[in-house]
Amino acid sequence: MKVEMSKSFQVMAPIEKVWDFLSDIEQVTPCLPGAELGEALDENRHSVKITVKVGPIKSSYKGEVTIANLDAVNHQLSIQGKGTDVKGKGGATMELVGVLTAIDDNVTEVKGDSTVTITGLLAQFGSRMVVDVSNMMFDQFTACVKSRLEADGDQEAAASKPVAGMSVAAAALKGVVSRGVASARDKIGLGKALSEDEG
Amino acid sequence: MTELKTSAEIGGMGHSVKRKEDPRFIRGRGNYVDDVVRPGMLYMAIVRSPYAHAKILSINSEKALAHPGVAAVITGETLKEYNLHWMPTLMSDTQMVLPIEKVMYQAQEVAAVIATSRYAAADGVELVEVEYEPLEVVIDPFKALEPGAPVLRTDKEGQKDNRIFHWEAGDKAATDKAFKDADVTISQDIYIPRIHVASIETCGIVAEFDSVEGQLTLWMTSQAPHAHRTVFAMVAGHVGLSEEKIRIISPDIGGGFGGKVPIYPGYVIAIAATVVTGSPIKWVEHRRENLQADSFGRDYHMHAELAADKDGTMKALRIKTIADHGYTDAATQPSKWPAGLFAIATGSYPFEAAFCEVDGVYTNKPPGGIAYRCSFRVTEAIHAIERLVDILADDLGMDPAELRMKNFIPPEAFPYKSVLGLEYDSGNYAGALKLAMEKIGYHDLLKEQKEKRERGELMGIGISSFTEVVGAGPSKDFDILGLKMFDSAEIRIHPTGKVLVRIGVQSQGQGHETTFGQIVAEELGIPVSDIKVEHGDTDTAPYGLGTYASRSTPVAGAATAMASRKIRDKAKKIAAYLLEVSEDDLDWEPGKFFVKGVPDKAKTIQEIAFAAYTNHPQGMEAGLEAVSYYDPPNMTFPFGSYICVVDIDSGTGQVKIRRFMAVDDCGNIINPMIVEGQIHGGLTMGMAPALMEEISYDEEGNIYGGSFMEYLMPTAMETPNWETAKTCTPSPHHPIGAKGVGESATVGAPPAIVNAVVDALSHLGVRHLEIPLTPEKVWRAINGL
Repeated sequence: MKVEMSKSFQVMAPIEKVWDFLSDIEQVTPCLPGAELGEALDENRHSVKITVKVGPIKSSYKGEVTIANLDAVNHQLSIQGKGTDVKGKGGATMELVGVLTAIDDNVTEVKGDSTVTITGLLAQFGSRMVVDVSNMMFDQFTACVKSRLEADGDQEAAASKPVAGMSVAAAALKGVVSRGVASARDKIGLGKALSEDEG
Repeated sequence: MTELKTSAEIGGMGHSVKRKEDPRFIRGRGNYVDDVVRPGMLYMAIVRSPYAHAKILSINSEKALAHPGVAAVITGETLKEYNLHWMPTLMSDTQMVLPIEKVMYQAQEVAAVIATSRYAAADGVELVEVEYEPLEVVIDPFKALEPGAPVLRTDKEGQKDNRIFHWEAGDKAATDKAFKDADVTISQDIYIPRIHVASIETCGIVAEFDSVEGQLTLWMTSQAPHAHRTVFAMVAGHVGLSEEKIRIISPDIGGGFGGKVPIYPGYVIAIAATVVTGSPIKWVEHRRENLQADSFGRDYHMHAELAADKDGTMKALRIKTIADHGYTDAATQPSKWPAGLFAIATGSYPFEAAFCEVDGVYTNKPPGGIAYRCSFRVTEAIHAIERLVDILADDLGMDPAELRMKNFIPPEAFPYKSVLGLEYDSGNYAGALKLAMEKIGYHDLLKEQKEKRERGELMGIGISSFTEVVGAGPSKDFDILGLKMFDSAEIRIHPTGKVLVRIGVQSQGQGHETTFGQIVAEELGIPVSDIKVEHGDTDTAPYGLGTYASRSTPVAGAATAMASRKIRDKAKKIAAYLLEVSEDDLDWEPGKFFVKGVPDKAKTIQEIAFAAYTNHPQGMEAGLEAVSYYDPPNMTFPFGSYICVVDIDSGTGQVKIRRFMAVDDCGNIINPMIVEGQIHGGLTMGMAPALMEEISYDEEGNIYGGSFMEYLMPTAMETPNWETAKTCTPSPHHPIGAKGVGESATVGAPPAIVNAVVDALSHLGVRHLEIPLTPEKVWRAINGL
């Protein structure tokens, strides 16, 4: 399945500071929920492991990220990622294009368009939740980036712990379960009777 | 109704004899494949592909083999040593047992883990490391046929595209001309999605090889044990398996519906595993494997057209179909009929011209195309014609019942030769529709609908007047891999007058142990309680092609009647000898021969049986037994008319079946209660795809509908109250005038439901809706989205 997302957020920091952060894979990776950066394969390629839990499916993807384009003048970057589930249950690929725009000297807008393709067990069973999980992951990523760039020195140290993948799943799950259950009930004609219970 | 010729005690045809198999089922004493336990048995679990199309770069079994309890990991390379990594399908295509080079669909078997427990085997599956390189995936069958599409079957020499077969029937030129000359033509794209039989018991096998005797015994979920044994003997002959040393036992089976006709790779791997390890091997699919990798039904993309006169007289029919078979043609059609009996598409109507063509296509989906509770593509064909008839009625502003009545093949026209080449044996289509209309109060419903529509309520009435073609089949036209589709029965009368009947077909829940006894009871007058019916064991049952496509009663049922008659002929000779009269002086009534005009001077069949072993005439062979291999002269054509009434919630799009009247005609009935059960089950299995079930795939080939979380199957909660009635038009060529009935309702129900829903929405401009009619789809139609 394909998930396409277009997102933007603003950071209270000058554009060069944001650029330096986002274009440095070692700095940015800890902000990706569930991600662990591995060794550098060459200048633009790193091995990476990402663990995502969607409903009952926990998938750990081992793969690599490639920085395909880094345009410091226009503040544009594109990243490609691909990974295989470590237990052979599927794979995923990602393409991300990011653009930074200075709103003013101290505010930067980050805009990202991404396409994620998922194959295997996660797609089969998580399809109804993947979008919600992706949204949650993005929100956590945003919060992390902000906290690092907007914080002063002390807080920065406190925030250097990677964002856990698991908590994302739990929050996203809450959002979809009620909706998923309701739609399944609709199909079998119980939707009306039970939806009131859920209030 | 079927005329009763025997007493309730004898329980011949027409008696609702309680099912002899039920006591063991309701007491938990059934014996299914998973109940079979052998000493030293090992368990098998299968590693499956997450990719729909990928190169296998490596398979690493080290970690799995290090796991406690894991005994072996079998890969394509293991099987290649024995040349067992490929096998033929029943359609003479080829299928990987385990892959060497690449995988072709998601959930394909990649390796098998053999372990001392089911848990250890499942753990082992998690530990097998497979490295894949994804390849371009072809999912859309239309794109698969486009020039430049990747050719999927690179293993097949000479295969230049993704087309499997092209089949056609009818007169193209005459049909094209009829369309050109017609007052009215209509056309509609109709898709019958992939669905799954989802029988309560998944597939499985216990395979046991005795290396000293060279004997292979298989307890297997097989709808066709004899045919499967012959295929195994032919495919594995080179490794020393010989047909007389292969025994397939198909024990109690928890539902077949066509899904247990194909030979799945898992069976073959288990057989290889028992030969290699020397231990008995058990493999039973879990539910997801069953839904994802086992043969699907349907998946027909049809473009259907109909030509008619202004007054509604139907003239010509044209249907072009793309059939998505997945990665290989593992359908289960008779060999000469790659598109099954799609030629039934002219339905209950006397078209002057018709032309149908079907192209089978390879895609990166699981293989199949089985006859899911349907005699070979009849469901697809009938859905098309019954939808077209309603669309025509709508276009002409005619009542759909009136349009059908105007066009039906009249009763006096039988036997009727259709323009697509089938010879219908008997029918009274108007009689069935008339009865259905009376029973449901059709004209009152029309009035009610009009009033409701004025109040803004959505109510619809839908009709389907189907005809089926079942009972494959005459040997001149019907075979599977060359095996002719006759069927057989073997009857032995013991000295005490009790009976053993062995039949070539086998039951997956149809009640053969009861109904085949009733046929013998009808013919010989021996109480059904004295008759034991055996089936499903290749060591004891006579050769037959198995139970599917409603063929048991039409073919093996006929064989049972014919064998009974051979016995009666011999019994008559013995009776004449015992009564010291000439055979010509004897009359028969169920259970005894008596001297004409002297009813007291009689010999019961039990007395005759005893004499056959104790006092038989000199010069006659002792014993009382007979065998029949019956080659039917034609198919049987059961039919019916169904009327469905739906109410639709305009806020949610929820369809509620308020009433459903099913009038069926399957000729003479053996057991009315069992027929009733067949109709109820069939209607529910017809409602399922009409409203709920579908397996779909995304562009990457991910399976949606691969678990019961997503594959919505009806339960008693969703099933409405079915109303049923019967007419009786016996088959003229069948020895007991019976026709198959197990599949009529699955064929007839979906178009009745769709016609009702479209009727409810027709004033909103809705002309057609594709199944399943989910609330979302209906809601969108209501809101013009």
